Amino acid sequence: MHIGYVVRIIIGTGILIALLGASDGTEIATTNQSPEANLPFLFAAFAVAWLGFIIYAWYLASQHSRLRQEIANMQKQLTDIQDSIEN
Amino acid sequence: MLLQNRIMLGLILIAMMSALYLIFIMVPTDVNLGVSQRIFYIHVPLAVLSLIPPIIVFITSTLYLVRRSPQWDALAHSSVEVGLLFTTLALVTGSIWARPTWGVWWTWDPVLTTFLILWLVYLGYLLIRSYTVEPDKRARFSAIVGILGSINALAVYLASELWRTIHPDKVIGPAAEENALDPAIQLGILVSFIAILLLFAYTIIFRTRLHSAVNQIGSLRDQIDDLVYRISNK
Amino acid sequence: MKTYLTQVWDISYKDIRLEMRTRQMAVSVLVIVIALMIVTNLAIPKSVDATFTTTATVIWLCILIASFMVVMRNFVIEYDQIGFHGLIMCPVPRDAIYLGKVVSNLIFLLVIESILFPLSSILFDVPLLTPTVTAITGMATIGIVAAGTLFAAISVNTKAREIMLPVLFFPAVIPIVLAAVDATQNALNPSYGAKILEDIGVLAALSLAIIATSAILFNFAVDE
Repeated sequence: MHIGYVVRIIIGTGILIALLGASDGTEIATTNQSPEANLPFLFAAFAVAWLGFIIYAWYLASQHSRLRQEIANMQKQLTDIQDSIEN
Repeated sequence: MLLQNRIMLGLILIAMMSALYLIFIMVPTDVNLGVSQRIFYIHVPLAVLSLIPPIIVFITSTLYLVRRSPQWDALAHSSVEVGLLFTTLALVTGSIWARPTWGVWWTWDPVLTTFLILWLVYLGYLLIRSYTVEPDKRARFSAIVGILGSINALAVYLASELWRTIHPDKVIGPAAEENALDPAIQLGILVSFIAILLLFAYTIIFRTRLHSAVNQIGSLRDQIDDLVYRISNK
Repeated sequence: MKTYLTQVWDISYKDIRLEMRTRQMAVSVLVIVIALMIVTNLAIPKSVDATFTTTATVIWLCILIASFMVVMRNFVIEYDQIGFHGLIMCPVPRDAIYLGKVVSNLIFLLVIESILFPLSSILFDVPLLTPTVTAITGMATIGIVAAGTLFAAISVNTKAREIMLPVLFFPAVIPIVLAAVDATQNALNPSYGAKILEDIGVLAALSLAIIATSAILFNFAVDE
């Protein structure tokens, strides 16, 4: 993993923690309130989890296409050189 | 390989959709905790699966140091990367769950401490990989860090159990004891666990494939260099 | 044919002799650690009452920072003067090199602690110079230094050694530091009694485990 990604992870986590901290003032539902009162927390948990999966999948896919492109380029280069030797 | 990919992705999709259906429609709302208890259905599988990479890393790193074949290094690296993702998500979802339930975002309970240290160990592992230039050294150093890190995660758990028990909030694990017999809840946990397990396995496999692509590029480069050398010596 | 222990001692004696000539490291580390001790002591509010706990915490924080600097300096000097390859070429087992480095680092730290402890004992007004506290300090320092030496040998090879060492080293010594802080505050507490021997035993076992694991893994770390 390139160092830039590690830095991005740290920055992203920091922003996330800051957001959580900023929303700290929101009222916390206690047991005697309605069961739906904590819905924002449920939303936040699922949003974060899906966001994490999607960002990682996106990172993997971009690496994958970059590597495939590179392999294709090199194979072409290789056949070009082989052709030039034969001629 | 492509067909396998599609089957795997299809399975993940089906499992995820049924997990979401179960979590949001089928499962009854917890009497005490309200809807935020539903976070458990994603948090518990994430947290449990975060504990698998240390085991994989310990075994594969040891095998790498003994056998020196790059495939073990690739597997160790892949599982650490996926482990970092899972640990991060487990920590964040757990924190979001803890706020309405315990009233705090964080508590220095042994389990939470261990996860935080595990997260740090993963970061250290990835950092040492990106800071070491020579491939051989990179693999050796990260194997050593991986072995020590996995042992350390266990040691931190035991240590904080032993020496930090003064802390009052000793609430560990799912608080779902009283509802545990409800079949819908059991099914919900099971299905979302399977879904996330499939995702976990698939990402590790996919990540390992990227390693073999990098190796392929290396061998292609060697072939090209070899040919160029031969041409220039003609 | 020299015995294993003589080999270990020869390697550590080389570092000690170098330090005796230059007096570069021990003095600077000592000054930094004393400054750190004073600052942390002042940073703790006066209203905080738990003297034993704060003393134990501050002392172990200082030792942690000191050991970080000592192990780093020791390997950076070796590596930058290209002495490290010569050291690895030595016809001795790799783990003898490791143990030699551990011994020299340990001696530097014990020197620093022998000044730090009387000083903190005066400044904190806590009896730190008892046999139990000394035993605890010795046992825990062995473990911390053993882990630090291995990680320093690794991180000195990387591009960002000053960043890599704390990232690897601090999480790795959490168990032993927790044990040491707990044992120190128990030892300072007069009502704790003879159970302190158990704490010292735990620390000794932890240090032994760390030193054994690190000695094995060091063989792979310097495999040129």
